[in-house]
Amino acid sequence: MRKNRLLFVAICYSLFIWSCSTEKEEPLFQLLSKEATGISFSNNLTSDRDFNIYKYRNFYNGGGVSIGDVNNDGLPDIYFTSNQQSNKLYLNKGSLQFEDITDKSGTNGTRAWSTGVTMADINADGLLDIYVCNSGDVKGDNKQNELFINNGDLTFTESAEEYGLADRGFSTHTSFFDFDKDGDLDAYILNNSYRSIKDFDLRRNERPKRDVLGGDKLMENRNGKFYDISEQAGIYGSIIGFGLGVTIGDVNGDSWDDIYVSNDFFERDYLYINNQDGTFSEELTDQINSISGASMGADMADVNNDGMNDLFVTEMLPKEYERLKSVTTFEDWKRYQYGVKNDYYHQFTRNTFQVNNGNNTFSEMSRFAGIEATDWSWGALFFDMDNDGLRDLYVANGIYRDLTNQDYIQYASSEEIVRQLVSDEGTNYKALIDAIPSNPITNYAFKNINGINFEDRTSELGLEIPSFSNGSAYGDLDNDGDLDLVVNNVNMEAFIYENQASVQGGNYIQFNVKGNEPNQFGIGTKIRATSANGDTYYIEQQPIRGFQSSMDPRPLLGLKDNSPLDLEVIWPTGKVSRYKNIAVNSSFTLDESDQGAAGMSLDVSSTDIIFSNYSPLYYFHEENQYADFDVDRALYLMKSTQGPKMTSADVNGDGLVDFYIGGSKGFAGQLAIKNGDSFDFKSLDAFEKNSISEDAESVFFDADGDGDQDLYVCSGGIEFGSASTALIDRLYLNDGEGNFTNSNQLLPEKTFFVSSSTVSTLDYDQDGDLDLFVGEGSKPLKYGLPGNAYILANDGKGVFTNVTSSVASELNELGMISASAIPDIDGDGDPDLLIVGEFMGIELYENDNGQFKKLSSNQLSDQTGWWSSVHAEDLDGDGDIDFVVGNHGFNSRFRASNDEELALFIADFDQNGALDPILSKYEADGKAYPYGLRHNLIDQIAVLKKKYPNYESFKNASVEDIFSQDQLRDAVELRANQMASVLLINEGDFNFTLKELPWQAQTSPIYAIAAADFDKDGDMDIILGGNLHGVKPEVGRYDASYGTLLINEGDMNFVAADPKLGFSIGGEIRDFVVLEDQVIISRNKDQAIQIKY
Amino acid sequence: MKRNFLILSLFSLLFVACDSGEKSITIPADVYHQSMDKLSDVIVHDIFSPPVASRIYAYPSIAMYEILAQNNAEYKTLSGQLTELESIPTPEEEVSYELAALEAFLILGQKLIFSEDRIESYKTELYTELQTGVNKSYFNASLVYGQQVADHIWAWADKDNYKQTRTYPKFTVTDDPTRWQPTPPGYFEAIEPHWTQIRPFAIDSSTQFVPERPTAFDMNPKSQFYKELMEVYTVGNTLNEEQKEIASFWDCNPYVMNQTGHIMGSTKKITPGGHWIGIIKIACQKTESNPMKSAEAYALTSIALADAFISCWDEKFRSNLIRPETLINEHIDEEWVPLLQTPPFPEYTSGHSVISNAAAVALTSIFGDDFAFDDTTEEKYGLPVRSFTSFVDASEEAAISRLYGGIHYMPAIENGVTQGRALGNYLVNKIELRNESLAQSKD
Repeated sequence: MRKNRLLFVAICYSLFIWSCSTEKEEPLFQLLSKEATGISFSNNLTSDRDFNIYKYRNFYNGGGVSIGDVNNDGLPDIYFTSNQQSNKLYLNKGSLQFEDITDKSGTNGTRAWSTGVTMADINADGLLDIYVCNSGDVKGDNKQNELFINNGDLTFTESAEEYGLADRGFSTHTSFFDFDKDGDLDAYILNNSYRSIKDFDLRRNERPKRDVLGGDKLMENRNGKFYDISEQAGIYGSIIGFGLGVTIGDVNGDSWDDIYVSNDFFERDYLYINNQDGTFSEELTDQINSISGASMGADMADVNNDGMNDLFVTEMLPKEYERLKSVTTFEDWKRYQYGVKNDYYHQFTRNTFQVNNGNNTFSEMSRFAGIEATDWSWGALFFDMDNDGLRDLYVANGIYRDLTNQDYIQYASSEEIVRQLVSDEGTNYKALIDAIPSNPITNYAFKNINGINFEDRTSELGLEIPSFSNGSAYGDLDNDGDLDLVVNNVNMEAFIYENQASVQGGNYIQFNVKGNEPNQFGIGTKIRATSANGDTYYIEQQPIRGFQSSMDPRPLLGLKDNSPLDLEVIWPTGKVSRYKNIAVNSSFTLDESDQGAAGMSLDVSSTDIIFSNYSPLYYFHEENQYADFDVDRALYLMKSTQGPKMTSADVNGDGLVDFYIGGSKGFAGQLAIKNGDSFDFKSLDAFEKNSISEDAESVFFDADGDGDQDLYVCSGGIEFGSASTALIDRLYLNDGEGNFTNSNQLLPEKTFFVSSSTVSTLDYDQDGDLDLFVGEGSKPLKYGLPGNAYILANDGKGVFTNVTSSVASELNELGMISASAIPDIDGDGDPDLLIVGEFMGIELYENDNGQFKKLSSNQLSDQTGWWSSVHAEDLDGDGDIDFVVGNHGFNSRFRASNDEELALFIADFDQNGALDPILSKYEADGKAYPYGLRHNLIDQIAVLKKKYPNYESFKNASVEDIFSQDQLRDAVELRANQMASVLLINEGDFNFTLKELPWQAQTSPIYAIAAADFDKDGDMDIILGGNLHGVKPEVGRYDASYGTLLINEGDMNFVAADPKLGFSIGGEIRDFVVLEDQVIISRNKDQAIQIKY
Repeated sequence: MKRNFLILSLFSLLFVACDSGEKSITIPADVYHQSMDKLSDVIVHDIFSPPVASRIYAYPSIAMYEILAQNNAEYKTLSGQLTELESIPTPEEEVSYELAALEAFLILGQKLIFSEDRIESYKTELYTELQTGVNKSYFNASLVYGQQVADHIWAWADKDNYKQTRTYPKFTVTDDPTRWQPTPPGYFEAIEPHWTQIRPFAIDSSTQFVPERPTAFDMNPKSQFYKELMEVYTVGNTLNEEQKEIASFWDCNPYVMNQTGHIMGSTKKITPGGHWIGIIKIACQKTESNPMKSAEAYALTSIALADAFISCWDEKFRSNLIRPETLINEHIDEEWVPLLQTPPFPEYTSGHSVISNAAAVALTSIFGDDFAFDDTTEEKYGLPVRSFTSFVDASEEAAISRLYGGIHYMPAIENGVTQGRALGNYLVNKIELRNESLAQSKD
């Protein structure tokens, strides 16, 4: 199983083509000194006995930044919040020099603990006011939010009470927007619960109960004063709201602002869709499948220039290996299930990147994009750092004390010290807190490569200084046409980064948005731009974003080139303005009162629907409550939820195609008999008798030569011991009218039982009857050990004999086989074999007069993957058979390449009678590192606790460190280097060109593949289905796929169709049956459906 | 710790100092108690669950007993009396049995826990004191013998199916409303669902003392089960100060979770078995028992504790009964929190009831009825001293404390007491430690 480094010519869809800017340039961002800027702000924290991280859980959450021009001199000014000391207002004097005018402006703030800050024109006088959120005062009453009304003379008057905005909750941030399109700015006040985390019982879901004092609030502006209308508007504001981010924008393209709320801890996030009638519907669970667990700040913007807002939410997953192994723990499967059961939804420890599908669904693509892990992150900002027309991603992170340091939690925090803490008397808080490690970490900056792939460019961009960073904001501080960056740090001076994009090239347009009174900054304005080259851009005027911060309220778009733009501007009031042929690389004023630009909104042209008439069938697939991870504790992905698979044929001779759908353990398979527009589902006694078996695959064929369709069903899965008769495959013989009788043969092998996974029919010996190929999948409790494949010869009467040893002796111990296809690959008239599986290459066997010979020089053999499905079809119409092969895809924590392969080490390392499969990855240093955390490995191999008494000792241990050379020598090692689902283009003589399927096909593991001319243009198109929900939380379930329709554009070029063309099916798709004008789709633990094409 | 070594230093002054060294060494009983305390500390530190901790106490105690009994005609070997235990080797040279017993105890203790360096550094310091004035080869020969016996006991221990059960299937949670499910605040998975497969020490099998069936699950308010559930709720809501003190005193939860914001802390305490190990020390010190008698008490009681856990866990994962906290929150009062954190395993029977009563029977057989004592075991964990008139008095309080703690229904306590006593009586009748009958033997 050693990898073979044969060079292999593979044409890949080059997602990653970009010119490497390797020439040493000045970093894009230059950190300016405090001497140069005059800004010496630092958010300094002091713990004391009465107030510290133990007394206040958000002690290290840090402050925010607002950028905005408070004196309308054209130069954006900066306001910082300081948690414990005076906030600071710095006046921009030009040339990136600033003056501290806090004291004379009266904007210090007087409350106990300041958090988020927003600049907005709240009293509608054309001047930016400053709204500061306050929190922290646990026992006292000194946390009312403050509103500094701009007097126009660089002085401000605190007036929160008067405006109805002196909220008393633990406020994190507040966003201002016109939710009801009545022209004025309303407010969403984001609060963080008063309650201590330990006081919650998850079963008591408190979400619906409003906490009037401490909950989130939607405040309606009525003639300049704000009123709490949360309840009538459908806004949650409960004691379990742990708000750390409020992000506002239009997610469904109706130009009404929607709201995304990120909640820390166990509460899920909220997605409020604006009902356009003064109310919202919370639709997160309908539109989004996986969310961040302890969600922090977020941002919303059009990342792929498709005209729709995408969403990014930060969490705390470290990217750096040693931090992952020392400061991270994940929920176990049961705890995760418990949260789901109690309505906290699918939350995971990672950032989430919700790509808007444009049909009220999102696909979570953070793992695909490579942006899921940025350590303890506070906020994210999408902005085009290099003015190339694609918004890049900045993440500010760091926590002054590593509160989740596992050694601290397990050992240092306990025993004597914590006993004192618990008794609450005589506690030495300082000692307790000083024991928590403090490690500054690097913020992250990712370059947007193509709208979906991101690359970590933190250090190239000059942003790599380790820090404890929280709120951050961008703005064009020097008015040179690029976005500079300001970052608020704990116990460290703030960063002021000057962006050099305008010097280094790049194109942009900056907008001065002038709305009508009272919303003179036009908050909520949507701007669509189309360049003369046809590039499209979308930006919203919403300066309040990221974490506790607000941006320069002059939206700036980076552009691909300098061609002029046409603009369509939708004002918050609904009014539309249009501008033609606008020159770029300058600023441009959009004025709502400019009558010349007024126009109607264009209708979006409708497209031809390919799939329609989605209708559920009267069949719901069920699974028992088996949890693979209870038995095979080292597995990451469940093996027991691979069904239901289907096979179709006319079973009753009525000329209509029926199908069989397999049952999971405890549920019998069923026949679906075509009846009119639908199917009648029925179970037969013969099937019921074998309901204990897990149907892994099946095929209809005429086994006994009587002219009707008999049925072979693979009994598979991992829920049975190797001695269980439930693993015997079944051949049911048809009486011609659709009645089936079990032939009671011991299949595929008489002497022992096999968990089979795939079956194909073939006439290998060309004797006129159909023989069988059967493959063995993952062995129960022996994950990783190779299974066999079998050739079963038909005696012509439907009696099968295992003839593998005489006709295909190389099929022994092949691997964990998942799928097979048996077409005539070389066009010599007899069927050949293509076999794929998990940790297997794509294996080819040539049929040489009834003898199968492994192809000696098969380059596909080196393409080791987690292959899960295969479909054979002549896709280019050249007369030979091509293949589509389904794999794990790219939207995963498991990534592999030739240089960094996945590896599985299997042995009974602790000699306790159970195999220990250790899933690992070879890193750049050539060593394999386990995926498991210390406690996961100890759970499997208890003695490791002696070798690694703490997390520190384990944090950089490689597989070679953990196990001895002797142990590893005796272990089986499997490797995988290819995760892409691919096309294999038949070039004749068993030569193939391997081509990656487009990225839309790589969003989840693929379990179902079919081909037909769906768009009826004369060539074969492809549909793919996948997703897998039975996945441990540290990996996170695969749910981003809504099925993929690949349209054949000729020359083996396949392009993913827009989901709006009708192919958008959620859930775990397991199989397709393609009929004349419809497709049957089976899904695990879900309804089967049919859809017309 | 420092104080103990001071006492030890005084003892060492009694050794006859001589350059060549004496071929004799006197180890006071307190050194064994102190070593047992050390083992308890590491068990607490490493967070071993109650059943696993009982196994850790048993093997070193048996090794210690077997070595000392070799050299004491009044005592019988346990080989042949405990399942699959064969006679320990005899020394080839002149050795100190007391030192060898200590060495075997510490070697096995160290093997059974995780934080080996904690035992190692303790041992280094202890042996530096002990070897003062002692003939070096004699000292070393004693250690070699201790090692031989430890190896012998370890080979026996290694076949008790502990290793294999480490990767047996975890407890699967289902929708069955009667079935145990994880409890707040930690929602930990069920501890040791296959402990019934551990080889017992002296009982015939894990199923020898199957208790009565628990009351049939029935959420009809008129049912017996519902009454018993309401009893937990009502008693929990009306606890007086003494009841609260009793519940906390016998909490013995090795891992109580405390969460403060992002910080997850824990309070670690000795296990129920560890508490009784502490009581043995108190009894030995009060009776000024010599090392031999102390070893007898440790061996017999730790065997009773270990077998009681096997018996109790066999029942727990037979009945898989749901905890009162889960049902009360679901059906009666969603805000109700028991005084003690519900430990992570099924309800029936109460582990503390079973093991405390088995231990009390064992201790009574050695120290007699009406053995009054002040229980200072939990002082180290910030809890007050409680006084008892007898071991049985203490074991009954331990049992009822689980009702006060809000973590058990009454049948788990009552039937647990019966189960523990039956098991204890069986053991003290079966195991012969003295050459004359135990009843007649008095030091």
